[in-house]
Amino acid sequence: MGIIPHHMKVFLLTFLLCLNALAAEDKISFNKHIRPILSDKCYFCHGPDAADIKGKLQLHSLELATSDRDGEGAAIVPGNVEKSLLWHRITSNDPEEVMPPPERHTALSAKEIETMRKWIEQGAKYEKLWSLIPLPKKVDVPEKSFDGDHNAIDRFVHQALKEENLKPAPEAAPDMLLRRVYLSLTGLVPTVEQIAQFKADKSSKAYENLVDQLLQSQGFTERLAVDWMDLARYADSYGYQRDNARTVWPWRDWVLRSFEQNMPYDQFVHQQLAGDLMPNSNDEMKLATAFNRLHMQKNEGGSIPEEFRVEYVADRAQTAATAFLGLTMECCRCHDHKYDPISQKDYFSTFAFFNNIDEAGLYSYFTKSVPSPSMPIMAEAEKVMMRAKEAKLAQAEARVAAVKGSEKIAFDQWFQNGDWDGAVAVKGMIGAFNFDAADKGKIPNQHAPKSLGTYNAAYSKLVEGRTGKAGKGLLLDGDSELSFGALGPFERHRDFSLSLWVNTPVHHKRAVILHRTRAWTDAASRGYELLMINGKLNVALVHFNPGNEIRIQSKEKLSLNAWKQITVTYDGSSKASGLKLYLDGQPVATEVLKDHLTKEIYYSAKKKTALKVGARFRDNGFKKSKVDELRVFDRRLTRLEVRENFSMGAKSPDEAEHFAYYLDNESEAYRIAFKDLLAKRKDLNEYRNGRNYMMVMKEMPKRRNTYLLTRGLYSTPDLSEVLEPSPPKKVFPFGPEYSRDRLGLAKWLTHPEHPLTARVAVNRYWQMIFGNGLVTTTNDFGSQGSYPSHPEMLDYLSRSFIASGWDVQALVKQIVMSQTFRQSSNMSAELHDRDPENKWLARGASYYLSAEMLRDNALHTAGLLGGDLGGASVNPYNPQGDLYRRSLYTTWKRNAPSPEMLIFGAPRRQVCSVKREKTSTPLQPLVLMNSPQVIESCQNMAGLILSHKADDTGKIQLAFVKLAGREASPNELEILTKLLAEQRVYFKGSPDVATKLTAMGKVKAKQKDKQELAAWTVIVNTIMNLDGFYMLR
Amino acid sequence: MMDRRKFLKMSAALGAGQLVNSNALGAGVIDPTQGVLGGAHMPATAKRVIYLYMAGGPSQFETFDNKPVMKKWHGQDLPKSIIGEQRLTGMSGNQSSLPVAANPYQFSKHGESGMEVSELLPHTAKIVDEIALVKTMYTEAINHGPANTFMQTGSQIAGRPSMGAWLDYGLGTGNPNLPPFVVMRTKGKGGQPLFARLWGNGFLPSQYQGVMFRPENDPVLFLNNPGGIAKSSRRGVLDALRRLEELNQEKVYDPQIASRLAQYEMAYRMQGSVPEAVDTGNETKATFDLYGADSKTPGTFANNCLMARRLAERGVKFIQLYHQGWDQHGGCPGGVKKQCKDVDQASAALVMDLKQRGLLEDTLVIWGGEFGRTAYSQGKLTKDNYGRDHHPGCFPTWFAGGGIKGGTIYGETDDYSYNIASEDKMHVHDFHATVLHLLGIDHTRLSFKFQGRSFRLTDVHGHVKHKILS
Repeated sequence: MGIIPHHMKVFLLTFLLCLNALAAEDKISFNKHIRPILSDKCYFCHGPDAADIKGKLQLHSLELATSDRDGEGAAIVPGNVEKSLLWHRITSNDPEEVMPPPERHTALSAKEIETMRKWIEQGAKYEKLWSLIPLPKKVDVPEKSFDGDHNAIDRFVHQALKEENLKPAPEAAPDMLLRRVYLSLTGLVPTVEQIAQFKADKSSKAYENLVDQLLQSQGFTERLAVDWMDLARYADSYGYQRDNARTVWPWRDWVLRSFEQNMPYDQFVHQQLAGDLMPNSNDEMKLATAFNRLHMQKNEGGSIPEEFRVEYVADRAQTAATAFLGLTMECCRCHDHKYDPISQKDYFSTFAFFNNIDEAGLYSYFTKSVPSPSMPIMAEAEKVMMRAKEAKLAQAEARVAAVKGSEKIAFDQWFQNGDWDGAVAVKGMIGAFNFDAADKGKIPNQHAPKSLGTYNAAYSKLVEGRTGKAGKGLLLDGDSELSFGALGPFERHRDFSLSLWVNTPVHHKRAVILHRTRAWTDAASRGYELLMINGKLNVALVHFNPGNEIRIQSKEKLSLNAWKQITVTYDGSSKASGLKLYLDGQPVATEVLKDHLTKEIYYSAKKKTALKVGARFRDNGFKKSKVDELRVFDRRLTRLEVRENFSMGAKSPDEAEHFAYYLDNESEAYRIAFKDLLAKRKDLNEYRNGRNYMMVMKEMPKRRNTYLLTRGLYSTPDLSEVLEPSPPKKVFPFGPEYSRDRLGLAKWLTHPEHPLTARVAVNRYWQMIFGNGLVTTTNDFGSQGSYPSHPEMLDYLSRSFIASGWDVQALVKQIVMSQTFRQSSNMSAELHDRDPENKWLARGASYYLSAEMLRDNALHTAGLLGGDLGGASVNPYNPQGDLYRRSLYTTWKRNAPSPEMLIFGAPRRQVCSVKREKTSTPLQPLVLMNSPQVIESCQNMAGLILSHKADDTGKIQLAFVKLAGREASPNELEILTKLLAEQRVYFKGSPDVATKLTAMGKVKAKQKDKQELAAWTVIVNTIMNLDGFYMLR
Repeated sequence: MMDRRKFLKMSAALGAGQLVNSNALGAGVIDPTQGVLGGAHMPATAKRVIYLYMAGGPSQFETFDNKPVMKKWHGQDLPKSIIGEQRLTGMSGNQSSLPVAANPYQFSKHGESGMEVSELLPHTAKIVDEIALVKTMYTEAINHGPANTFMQTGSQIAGRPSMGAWLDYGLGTGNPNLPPFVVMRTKGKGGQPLFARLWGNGFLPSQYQGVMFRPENDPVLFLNNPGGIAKSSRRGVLDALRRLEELNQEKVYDPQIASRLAQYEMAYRMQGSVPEAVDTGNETKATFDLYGADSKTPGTFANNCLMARRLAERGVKFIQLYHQGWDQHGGCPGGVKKQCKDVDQASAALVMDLKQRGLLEDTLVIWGGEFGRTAYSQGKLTKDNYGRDHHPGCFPTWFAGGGIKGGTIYGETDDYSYNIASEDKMHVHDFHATVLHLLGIDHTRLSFKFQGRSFRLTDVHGHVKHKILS
């Protein structure tokens, strides 16, 4: 420890005494004053991240900060500054000694040093992070400080104002308050009629009546939804590089319905996190869980699937942490949190909740398959139709079973009485290639000579085949495939079979033997495939791999260096049990790996898909292995036929095999029943394929292991420990009463004593109304976040939010009924200097309208905005699209968001975002004055104004009231009247400009005099560019 | 505690770096001509940057990294010892063989430095003594999306501010009437998609995002008055707006009104200054000849290079050109030849033109992509054709002007340009640190607090590579 030079001490002392004199009485609060300093300046090296501490010193707990340092004393000695080593380090003048080190560029200010001194002298009391202190069971409302309070909010705010020597502002002018409450609750300004309606209500409860009415309006529902869509990173496209479109708006409509019904917030959280796991889970609840799937998804060629699957799971966990806990958990993905008591293990334990769905790391490049798990989104009528088709299928299945019973007698007759000559006919062949005459890249087809197979003679070599020197086979190189063209585009409702001879010198880890797909990860393997996995044969029919497929695998490895005939048969049932695997005519023991196929396997890009052998696009081929004699059948071969297909004349000892053969080949009744079964399957499957599907959450039966990923990387799991799902326990205990799944997490979050969930939610609704939260760092309630401006009020509102049954409407009503909300937002230079950010709320809120509000109100005031609640997303930039819906319905394409929206600070919705940025740039005026959408609105509104029977003054007033919610003052009128005169002169002299200006947009005002219309378009646009329009005040 | 706004002003004045999240502050606090640093940390050798971004990942073998040894091994599998632990993409990673593909083009030495350049770049060969060629850039990403994001923002994960946004935020603009960060892309090039977040503001305020200049009548979106309204008419509207806001201000008292009015005035000035900046009508024939025949056609790389010089002259801080199409998974010999033809003459012309106007000494020109390509062939190697997959392990980038030591050859790669074979190497973070250094910024001291953490372009990494500096 260095000793401070004497002269320096004198200087410091004098300096500090001066400061001290200013605030001798200050009681220092750890949470309010000290934590921000330690967290900002010290914890990076001396904080909770145990793996990365400097000088073996951690300052985040009293115990660690006051422990003896190798006999030199302690960093902090409560009550004794001089003995506190820390004090000497932070006041040192020696660059080698001073803390924080100069190279960190985070020097303590004189005021911070002084605050530290007082805190140590006052006993260096630590406090738990304010946001982790359990929510008090009851919070007392303060005494009245000023007159005019309406509810508890005002008592809290006024108390703080009094302490700050400020006072509340008078109530805002009625027209301003009306505009403010409309915008705050619905995002739309009041219409002229709504203004008149309000003025006509002379009752003392006029304002409250209005608030009640607005809370029930479609506008309120839509306003709430926009913020939730930001938080849920809602977008109509996948993001990352390719950014294909996806259908997820049914989830947005679920959100709208929930807000419309005022669903309690705890339910709202439960259903979105774990609707699929709730008791009596229904389709609505399952749909809600799409919340967890709205993250970006990747399909860039060559990407490593696991790398991105890990990103998706991480995004889910981080979104939940930001949305519900207000914690920046992403900081502890790679190491323990530098500032908050969350460890890397906590991170991956939380991650584990979201790591248990059967999903792919890449979505399909070549197909439009909805990534698994998914569910159909059906209206009631569709569900009825689906059930009817399911019933018909069940009937058809029953008929087949019945026929099997009734045909037994006829079979006995046929089998026992010698009606059968014993010859087995293998029917249904549609292709046969024995390779013997393969030459110059062509493989003749013995069954249908016109349909040749092909190979590339440079890479696939003709070798001795399975029948010895006489025959030929092909040796594969693993990259070049044999193609058998359009053969066998089978759909899953029907039966088919294939056989192929193979001879491999190695047990491939993974090799494609035969397939009819476009690609592996790039098409999620849609189609059917025969693979070798670790030497075993693996057969699948796939809609989307993984998650929507049936897959079986042989229990034994294939023998090496021997010709073997593989036969695969499938019965059209979409069940794993309908897949059979044979080797040399004998059934092979298999295990079922996947048994969930609910959508089509066919993929119709004709030129690109073919039946192929030996290799696949960007997959591992059947390298150095030989193949011979491919046969394709358009029906399921029975065992007898498989045997026959392997070796002519081999008889079966098994009567059941003969019966199966009989049914397929000899029974007309069975043939009819089976044909009907296929037709019913086809009908049901096709109906199912035609529905909208949505990604949702669905647990896998066996939980996927979660490991801590070293440095956060997918490729470096710490396999020494399997992590149980658990939220950060230091936040709130996660007892055995909670299930170890997402439902347990959701219930844990909404426990009435949970310190964060209610505080975080209340703060967000406060922010929605006031523009800033009581905690301004809406996303961070940790030690690096800001301390609440009104901590007791936040607790009070949180407690009453829970007590109300998590009633969002009641909370919002309480806020907008307060005097604090209703007071004027005008200020003076003095007030601005005292409180530029309006932390203490000595005035009402004021902020820029959001990107959505600007566009919506431009359309709204022009009479263009329309539409009911919900529905598919729309494309207003496409003239054929629906141009005039509220902006929340605009298709959100992550990589090509509307430039207007970005210019006005909308987030990109790549990740969870709980606060919009509010900045002003020169591009904003360009949009508001020049964009075709704005001008279209102005032009239409000008049309409305001109049809209003009034003089110029009356017309200007109408425009002003529509946009700014109040009448223009005489001075304002004078300026606008003069501008109108100038504009009339201008357009008279420039009729072409008037024509062009008034022709902008799809809907045009009905007004013959284009020059007059143009002049008024400019007047309307001018008002739209006033603070009175683009600000909420 | 000190209030945040004063704190910000103070920290800016002290040049102490950004310590406060200005999201809460609104606009108008930071002087746009000074940036948050209120001036550079140290004397800058470059005042502006022109970054010629070769999107897709140009092959080093046919351009700047001559590997004659590969001819001997042509067609044989690349030894496992060379591949080592480097991961391969899913595009060629499952291939049954990885045959070495030798480059068929001739290399020769040029200039006093004797720098080797391929015959596909005859114009670049003329400026070798102006440029520092870094052969050993390396990155961590193996696919375009993450690699581009890394190169532009210092992180593979989306959401961080781009390099141009950082500079704009840190240093402000040399000309408040033009956007400080301008992006142009070559028109009609296919290839891997680009996306606006590559020039986005990330978590910085949106005023710092790059502005796309388009080869159209409306070079900046919404720049032109609607319907062709005359400037004088717009002036009248703005005057009326100002008078109306003055009345409003008496009642409301909010300094934001004044700052917003200033934005309206700046937008108005931009309406004049942007068209002037992009109008090449008064360029001489000699200039067009220098940049090549394409330079008269808006939207070509050559025209964008000429535009870049004009913007540099007018004080734009960061000018970025995107030229796509460098993704030669197949047809590499022909593909690279065509790409070189697109950019060679104009890239060299830009350097020469800047030099003859005295601008090169304080303008940094950068040429390069997001990664290099593999020594082995992706897909089948045939007699005269091959493809190359992505390769993050080493790739070339050149620098010129603004404090760069011309004629420098920095770093060496192994015989297959697969691994770095020298101590001299430049990670993406080093690249950013070096560029910031040239602009007078200590990369460890330009930061922004977001989500409770202080972020830098270089994260917690980055070393300035002094060997390429003059």
